[in-house]
Amino acid sequence: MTEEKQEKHGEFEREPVPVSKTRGLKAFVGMYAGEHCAGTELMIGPLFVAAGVSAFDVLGGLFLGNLLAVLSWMFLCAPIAVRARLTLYYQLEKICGRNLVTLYNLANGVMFCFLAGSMITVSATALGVWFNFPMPGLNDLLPNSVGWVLAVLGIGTIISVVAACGYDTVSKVANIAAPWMVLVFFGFGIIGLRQFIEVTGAEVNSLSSLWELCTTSIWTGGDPLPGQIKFTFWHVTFFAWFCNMAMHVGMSDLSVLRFAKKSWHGVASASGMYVGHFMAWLAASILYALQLHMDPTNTNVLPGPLAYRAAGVAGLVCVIVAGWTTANPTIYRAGLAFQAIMPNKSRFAVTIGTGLLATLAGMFPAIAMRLLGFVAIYGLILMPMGAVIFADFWILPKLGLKQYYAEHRSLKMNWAAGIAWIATLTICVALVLSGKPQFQIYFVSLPGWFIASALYIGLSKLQQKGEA
Amino acid sequence: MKKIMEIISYLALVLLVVAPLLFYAEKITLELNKTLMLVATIAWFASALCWMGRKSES
Repeated sequence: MTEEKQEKHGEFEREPVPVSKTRGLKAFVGMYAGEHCAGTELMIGPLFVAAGVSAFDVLGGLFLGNLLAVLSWMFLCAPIAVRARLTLYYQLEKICGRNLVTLYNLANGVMFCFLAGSMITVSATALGVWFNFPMPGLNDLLPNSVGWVLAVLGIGTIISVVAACGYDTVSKVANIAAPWMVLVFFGFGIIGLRQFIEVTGAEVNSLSSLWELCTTSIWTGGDPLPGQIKFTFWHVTFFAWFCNMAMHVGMSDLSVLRFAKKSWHGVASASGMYVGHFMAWLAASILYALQLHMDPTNTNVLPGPLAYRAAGVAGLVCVIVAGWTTANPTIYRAGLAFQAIMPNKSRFAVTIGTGLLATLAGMFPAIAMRLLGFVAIYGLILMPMGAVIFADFWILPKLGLKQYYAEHRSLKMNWAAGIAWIATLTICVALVLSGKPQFQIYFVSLPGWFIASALYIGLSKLQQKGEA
Repeated sequence: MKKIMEIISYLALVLLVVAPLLFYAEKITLELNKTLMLVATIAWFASALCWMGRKSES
């Protein structure tokens, strides 16, 4: 494929990105800020409050967890991305072989579908404000009204068709919406804070009085709401660190950062973390805490009504746009992952099918209402392959072992990588099922990364024994 | 024309920040804040579409 043709398609799928096509820091700052200010932020912030976080735990935990996430991008993902300059899929294919990559694509596609489903759920809550149909509660697992099903179906169908037609237009709208959306999120926080001051009668004229309002009225700590797990400082830290685990530790962003001029450009992820996963989560959590303060029986986590009470129609538009612009590329990516498994089917048909699967998932509020746990599972499933890539790139050559073993031996399946992946997941699931608090789903990915790396190195040694 | 649209876009973003801050300072009501945020939203999308999309195309 000529460079001109590749450039037209915008990708260098099976060869390193040439240095002439690399981009500066600024391009990544905007991209990360937009990508991590999504519809799901409106669910995650409130779910922290439902989990009974205290002010110190949520502020300190988010600060530290997001810092660890940025460092993971900078020191795990970006250094490999700028040296190899390959997509995740091509790099994995060279290490694991075509068949294992197909399995990875299947797992990735399914997780993307569920994630897109939760984004559709978020958008549908805005329609509930306009059409006033019953919407699901915090502990609902199944759809609870015909209106809800129709709203999700309507939004999901539109999103699927647009994604199938190619998401260039949506991508442009998403770029235009990004700065506006960030400021609407900021507005949610400021408005919520003022409303808190009004309903509590607190006098806020200094940082210490603001802190007192935060600790006594907003993030009060204590018991979580019924059906929710109690979140401590470490839960918040690990959640913030690992919620994008698939992208940094799991190396999905090799495909993005291979275009970076320098590996330190991974620091651009800080814009997404501290705008989307700090400011936006806190703003959304303030709105939910206010709702609970005014009516403790109203535990529903519904971004539509929350945004409408604070910012009116602009808030509702924000909920729809935030869900739509992020669900679209997610469905598109899931479609691409599935199409790699079914190359004979047209991209249009696969994307429509994928979108409808996501729509079906979106009808079940269980995913959105259990988003904290789902996101942790998503990271866990894809994490071991990141560990395999890390070990293959840095450690195997130092041990005198061959990198890119599947390519070297023309294998369809590198069993060392396959066993490392499946065994790590099995061990992690067993640890979670042990019920020990230190092995909750939010924490288990950390030991899991070391397990996956050690397994892959050990098995590779075994596999390459006797080879020159 | 493009320059004017660009200026309108930035003014819309300023309004989007200023309206909640004015509400926080008790200078405007919540209802007026909501109206101003809606106006800023319409102004942003109407004006930004005229220059941001084209800029990224070029």
